[in-house]
This record gives sequence, structure tokens and C-alpha cells, in this order.
Amino acid sequence: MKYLKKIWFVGLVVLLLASSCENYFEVSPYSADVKSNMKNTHVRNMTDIEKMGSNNSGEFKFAVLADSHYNYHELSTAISIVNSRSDVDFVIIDGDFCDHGYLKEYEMFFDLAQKLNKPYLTVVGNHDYRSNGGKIYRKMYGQPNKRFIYNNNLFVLFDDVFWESDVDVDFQWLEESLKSAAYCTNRIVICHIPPFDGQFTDDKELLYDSLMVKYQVDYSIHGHVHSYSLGDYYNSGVMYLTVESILDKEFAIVSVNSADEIEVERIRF
Amino acid sequence: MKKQFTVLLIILSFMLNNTVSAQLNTVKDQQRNWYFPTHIKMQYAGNIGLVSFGPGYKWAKQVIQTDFLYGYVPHYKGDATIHTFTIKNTFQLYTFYFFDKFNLKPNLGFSISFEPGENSYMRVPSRYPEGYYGPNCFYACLNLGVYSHFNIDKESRFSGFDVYIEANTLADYVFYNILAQEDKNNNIFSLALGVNICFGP
Repeated sequence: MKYLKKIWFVGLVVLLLASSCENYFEVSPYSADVKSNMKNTHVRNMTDIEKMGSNNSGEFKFAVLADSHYNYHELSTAISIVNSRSDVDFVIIDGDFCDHGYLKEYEMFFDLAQKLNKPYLTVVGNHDYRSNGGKIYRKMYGQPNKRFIYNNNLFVLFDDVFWESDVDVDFQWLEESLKSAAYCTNRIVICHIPPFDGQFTDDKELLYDSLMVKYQVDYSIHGHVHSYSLGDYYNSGVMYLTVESILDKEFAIVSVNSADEIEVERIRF
Repeated sequence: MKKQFTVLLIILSFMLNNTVSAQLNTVKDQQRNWYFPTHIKMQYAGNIGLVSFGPGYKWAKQVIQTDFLYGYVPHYKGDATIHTFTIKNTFQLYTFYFFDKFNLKPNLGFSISFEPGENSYMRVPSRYPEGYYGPNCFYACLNLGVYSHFNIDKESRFSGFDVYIEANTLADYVFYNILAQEDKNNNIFSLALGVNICFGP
């Protein structure tokens, strides 16, 4: 019995030592214990983007990368291409940069995204919500719904995930955001799931497009479907763009020219 | 259903307690019953809980260990309360002896874990179309480690203990790194520490 007491004591000491080296010990893939250096990435990036936008009065471009899942080689290649484009000002990661929503997947994406030489913001995708992904996302990238002004253009990053999400889709917030920047030259909404996907019920699909029309949104940009399409889907005057997936080795660069016209360039690699 | 399950659990605990006591009382006189564990394992980390514990069995001339573990992650640690049930298999590769007293046993293993969380499921919820997702409450781990066994008293109820350290990763992470080629992530491995309290013969 005295040996057991020694074992317990030694074990306790070892545990205490181990707990002080917590970065080397992982307790569960479902843990949402985000490392401190990975938290609130969006804050600095948003500040950088808004600062650039306030100093920019001409043509500008931004890259939209979507649906990399666990294809880190393809994501790395896309990042290298974006880095080589000096005409691209910032990057929007349009969701599904995870697959199972594991903390490790978020960390793997974060490590690669750090190699970007431009600021980036993320839109949450359905896969990013899986497991405890919702909690991890909010710790790393803040509230999923965000908006900013860039060169007098309104950008709305909107969480439109219905099935996997742990919160309700906030159409009220979307409408308030669009209403708040009626003075802007262009209005661009970026969310992961297009309204014509099965996650939208008929009434939500109608609501979404009606908001786009009411507030004269120019472009509604999406990922999720792993294929490229561009057109006035509902014949309502709103252009709907779905970006091909990083998994399938493609992304898009969207430009707003000096005449405030929007063009899309497909980048295949 | 919950009440019936609780009553069943109480009855099983009572039976197990009596069985264990009976076994310990007759440990000197009788051969161990096959279902009586050879050890109790306790592990820190290793992707199966902050702490995990449970009975284990050494078999095939003590070369193979099979453990049935319950792991727990408290809310403060994982920002979620996580319960994990694991079957862990470890294969002893060799035994190195030092100074006639000490030994090191490198080993290789894998485990299958089940995590019944709020956002993980065995049966895909009906809101998803068929084939949209598979069950996401199971995952497999691979581990590579080293054990060392210490004898106490082979005739007593606790005959000795093993201590071990291992490197651990999810099979998913290995798959991601294979696909990632030169862009692989070097941080897919983590450590685990553990001890087996071994029962006497």
C-alpha cells in the first residue's frame, strides 16, 4: 500500500508539470481551447483593411478563396498566387476552411493563412460549424457577421448557415447593415451558402433576394457549391457569383474599377 | 428509460464490486478469471480526455494491451464538457533491459474513440439530405510510445505498475498531411502520459 501512495504522489507531480506544458498535450479534437496567439485575428485585419480603404480612391481588387477543407497543399498554392498579385488588396476566405470543425483544422488553416502578405477576413461555412467549430470560430475570428467600408464600397460578411450553426441566421442584422450604408457606391454581400441551395427554405430564399433587391446589392458572392457560376440568378438585377473551390484548384479575384464596375477574374492553378 | 438505466448501472456496479472483492480475496488461491482486468489505466491527454481511466487487459503473452477508457474534459479546459469512450490497443514491440532491474518497452498502438457531444452524432439528423454527412462522433488515434514496468510484489493484489509516455495523433491529421505534401503541418503530434496499476496473479 505504501507503494501506491508513492505512485500517487509521483503521478501528481508529473501531472502538475505536464499541465504547465499544455501546448504539448492535447485533450480532445473537439476541444475549443484556442491558443492565445490565434484569438481575435479579425480585429487587426479589419483595422488594416479599413485603413487601406480610406486611403484608396481608385480601382481595387480582392481575392475570394472558398472551400479549401483539408486541402492544405492547394490552399498553400492559392496563397502563393495571391501573394504574387500586388494588385490584390485583401482576401476573403468564403467558408469551409475546415472539414470536421476540429480545433487542429482551425490551427492548420491559421498557420497557412499567416503566410498571406495581405490582410484577410473569413466567412463561416457549414463545415466550420461542425463539432465545436462555432465556438472556435468566434474565438479566432469574432462574431461571424461583419461589415466594413472599403473605398466607399460596403462589404457585408454574413453567416447564412442554417443546419450546422449553433445560432439563428440573423436577417435583421443583414437588413440593418445594408440600410446603414445606402450612400455607398457598391454593396457586396459575401456569405458561404447561395440562397438557391437546399439549406434555404423557399421563404428564406425569397427574403434573401428581396433584401438584395431592396437595398440594391450589386454582387452576392458565395462558395459551398464547388462550382463557378455568375449571373442574375433571379432576374432581379442582383448578380450572384459562386466561386469554385480551392479543393478544385480555383479561386476568384474581384475587381471594382474606376467606373465602379465590378468584374470577376477566375484563377485556375 | 433513464431510471431503468440508472438502476441497471447500480446493479452492475454492485455485482462488479462483489466480483472484484471475491477475486482479490482468492487471488492467491485461484487463477484469474478471464474477464478480470490485468490493470487499471490512467492517462493524461492523448486526445481521449484531459484525464481518462478504465480497465485494461494484457494478453497474447502480455504483448498486446487492450484498454476500455472513459475520458473527461471539463468545461474550463476545452470550453466544452467532453466525454469520450475509447478502446485502445497497444502492441509491445520489444523489451530492453538495463542493469537487470530496469526495462523500456517501445510500443505502437491505435485507438477508436466515441464522443457523444452536442454537435456530434451517430445517426445523421433528419434535416440533412441522405449522404450529406456521415457520423462524426468517432475518430481514430495512432500512438507511439515507451513503457517501463516496475514490480512491487508479484503475490500481492497490486503487483506493480507501468509508466508510459507516448506521441499521439488523429488518423485524420496524418491523412491531411499526406495530402498536403510539402505543405504538411509539423504540429500534428501531441504527448500523453499514463500509468497502469497492475493486479496480481
